[in-house]
Amino acid sequence: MGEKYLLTKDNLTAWISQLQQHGRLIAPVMRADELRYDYADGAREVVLGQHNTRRSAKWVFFPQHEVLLRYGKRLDDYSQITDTVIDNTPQVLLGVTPCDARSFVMLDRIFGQGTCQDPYYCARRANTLVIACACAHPTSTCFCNAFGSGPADSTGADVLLYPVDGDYVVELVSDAGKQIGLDWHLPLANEAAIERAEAITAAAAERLQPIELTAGIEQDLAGLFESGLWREVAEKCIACGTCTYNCPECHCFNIVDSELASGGARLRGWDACMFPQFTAQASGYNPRPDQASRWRQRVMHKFSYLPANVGLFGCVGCGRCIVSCPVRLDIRQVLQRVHQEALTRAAAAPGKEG
Amino acid sequence: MNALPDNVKQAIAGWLQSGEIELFIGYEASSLPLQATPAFVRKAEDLDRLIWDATCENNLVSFLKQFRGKKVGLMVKGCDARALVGLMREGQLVRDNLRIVGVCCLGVVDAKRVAAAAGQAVEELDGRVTGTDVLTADQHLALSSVMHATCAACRHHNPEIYDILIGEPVADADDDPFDDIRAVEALGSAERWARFEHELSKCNLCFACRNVCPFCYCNTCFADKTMPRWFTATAEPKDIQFYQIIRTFHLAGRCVGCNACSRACPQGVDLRTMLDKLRLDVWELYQDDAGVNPQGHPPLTTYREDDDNSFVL
Repeated sequence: MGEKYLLTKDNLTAWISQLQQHGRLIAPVMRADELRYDYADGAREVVLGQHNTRRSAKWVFFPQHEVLLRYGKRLDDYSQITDTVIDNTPQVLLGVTPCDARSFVMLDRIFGQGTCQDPYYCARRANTLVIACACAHPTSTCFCNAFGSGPADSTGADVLLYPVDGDYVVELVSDAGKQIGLDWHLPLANEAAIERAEAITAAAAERLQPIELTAGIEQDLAGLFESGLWREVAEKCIACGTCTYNCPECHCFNIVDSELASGGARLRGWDACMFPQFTAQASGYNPRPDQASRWRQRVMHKFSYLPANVGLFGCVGCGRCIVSCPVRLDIRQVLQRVHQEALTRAAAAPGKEG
Repeated sequence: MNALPDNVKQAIAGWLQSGEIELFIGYEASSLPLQATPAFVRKAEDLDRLIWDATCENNLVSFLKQFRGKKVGLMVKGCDARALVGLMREGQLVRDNLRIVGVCCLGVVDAKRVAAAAGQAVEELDGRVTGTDVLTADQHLALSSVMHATCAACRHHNPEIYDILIGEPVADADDDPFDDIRAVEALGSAERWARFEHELSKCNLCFACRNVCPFCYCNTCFADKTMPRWFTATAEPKDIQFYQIIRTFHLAGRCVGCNACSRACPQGVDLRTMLDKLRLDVWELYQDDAGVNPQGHPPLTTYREDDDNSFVL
């Protein structure tokens, strides 16, 4: 942990203007009666330090839909591909919660690393400075602590702000953060401010309900592919996409060609494992024919396949899926059911003692 | 939070044990305050989980799509029962297959309104309901002040059909249920369009509105068809508006105004105004109300020589 600096409330507006010099500002703002991450005109609009927005910030790097390329009237003539849109605009993403910042690390594993890197994602990610704000207001649906995280987790952030009674203690986390932080010429934070900042996030951590969801979950799930519990879990699911859309980690997409008389565009847009059409094949066969198999996929993907494949859970515990579900299907309860079911099976398995 | 009355539990237990139904769909407490969650019960001993109070906002009729031809029991509020009636008129349900616990309803809580009154996040509320009172940690709110906007427009508090009833029938107001819709009609077209654009700018195309609608029972929705593809689900306003307009028009003469869609919408889009405008038009043109008579036919599937044709150019 390096030096910490102080940003006073009096300097906040000027500091945000400085950020706007650096890049296009995206921050929590009120739009159509909703607090959400959106392009912000300036400090006047920015709402810092609130509890989680209803929708996550993943769209900043992975938009709900985007044009991958445009083409002329003939799809089979590659000379007519007119425009490949890579957005290199510098951006500042200000005021994300630590759980949102943490989610970017997982998205990086999917889109930004390894042999198959996504140029659209990588361009946005490389050009965006992430300034997270430590969480002073966890709510009853927050469970980041189940993933070893907490209100002052700086993972995935370039800069972390600690709210201190209207002022902020500023921690420069990444190399990019340290570099730009020099331009701000902020004074060092005194010990009292740092102690107060730590006390506030410690109090926030205290408010998180102790919850054990992830210990051994991969082993638990290993034996449950054919379990009847998925049918019970999924029975009330209405198969809408809210949980996946609002999830900072869900990253499945569909690619379609949208054709107009003038030519066409190849679009990529969010898709969701909760939708029956997600796995529908051209033959008419659907390997996930019911909501039970879709819920199994949702849980297996987040808590078994992703840990096995990229070493990270597909969940940061932000609780958005719980709050926004039209039938209040709670993923924490599903994971607890999974664990119970695994225990029941282990107890009933022949050849086991005690 | 109220457990079901003993006589109701006994009736449901009897239906389950005799095989009259294989499943009963009711409500139980969820992990969130002031919001119940649908519960599926197959054994009489599980009936103690079930509750009925003003937190039971979902329309359980929506789930019958999953149980076609099965014998199912369920709880219905006045609005939900209208959906049953409408579906019977469309030949989608057989009354004999259903066992219905009707509830007389004074409205269901909109937890977001309570949260706004309390200055807290919905999930942080320390709230409970007793009768028509909504109690939070330090406030005592009248249900009428924090119920869903859809409930304020309700003139059907009592179920049209049921086998057993919970509560005493409530007097329905005799006034015009469409007065706020007429107020929107009276606006200029620019203002109406601005309002429409504003509301739909909240929509994120999650399709919860369609999926909870009892009347959205097409095997494959137009929005999901790929051969031909009518619709591309981008988040652009034109696509969102296209989807919502087509869905709304598909419900003309069929929507019973249960407003399950508006209550399910995680983005708080006011879908009721659009749907009730259509219900008002159908009433004025054909004097038809979809949720009243299980016999007969929806007005847009029939023809009479004296049908209004003033809109024909």
